[in-house]
Amino acid sequence: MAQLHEREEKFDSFLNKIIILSSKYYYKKQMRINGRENTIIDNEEYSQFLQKFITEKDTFSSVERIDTSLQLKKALESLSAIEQAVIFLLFQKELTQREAAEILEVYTKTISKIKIRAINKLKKYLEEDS
Amino acid sequence: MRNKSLYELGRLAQKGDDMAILEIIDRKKKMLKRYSFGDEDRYQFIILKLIEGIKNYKF
Repeated sequence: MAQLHEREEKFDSFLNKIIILSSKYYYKKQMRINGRENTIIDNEEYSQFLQKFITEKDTFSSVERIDTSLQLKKALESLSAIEQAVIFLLFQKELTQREAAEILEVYTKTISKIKIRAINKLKKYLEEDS
Repeated sequence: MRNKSLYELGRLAQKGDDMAILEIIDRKKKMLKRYSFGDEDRYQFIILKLIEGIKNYKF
């Protein structure tokens, strides 16, 4: 009888643990997603980043360059939020992969993978477009 | 189902008894609601994890 009671209690506390831990896990997951979007996407400097290609006077010396910049802007927009953020941090802010990883709260290896994926996507997009 | 213990329900649920799963969820409703903080997505997520946990529990 005591053994049955013990089993019952053990199973009950197991279920309670699942509820508490999965609730915490869900919260952390959401915070991670929202955090990334808030720190990167809502950044004013970042929103100016995409605009830069069509607002800077000096960079456009010919029609051809404007075309290239507009193409690049479209290509950048085709990337996912995290890929855009990585490109922004590495090439615009000129941060190292380690610094970008700290900001985005991911491993350095992940940044490297995202960077390669984003560059390949950009290449593919620009090749198809031209 | 009402007169069965949580442990027995767990064993039945693992064998694929849907009614047992529903009964467990019903018994844990109060706690589920408390920890989902009114978020329906979180509520569903916890239920999924709960079912997953029951399926993998070593009875």
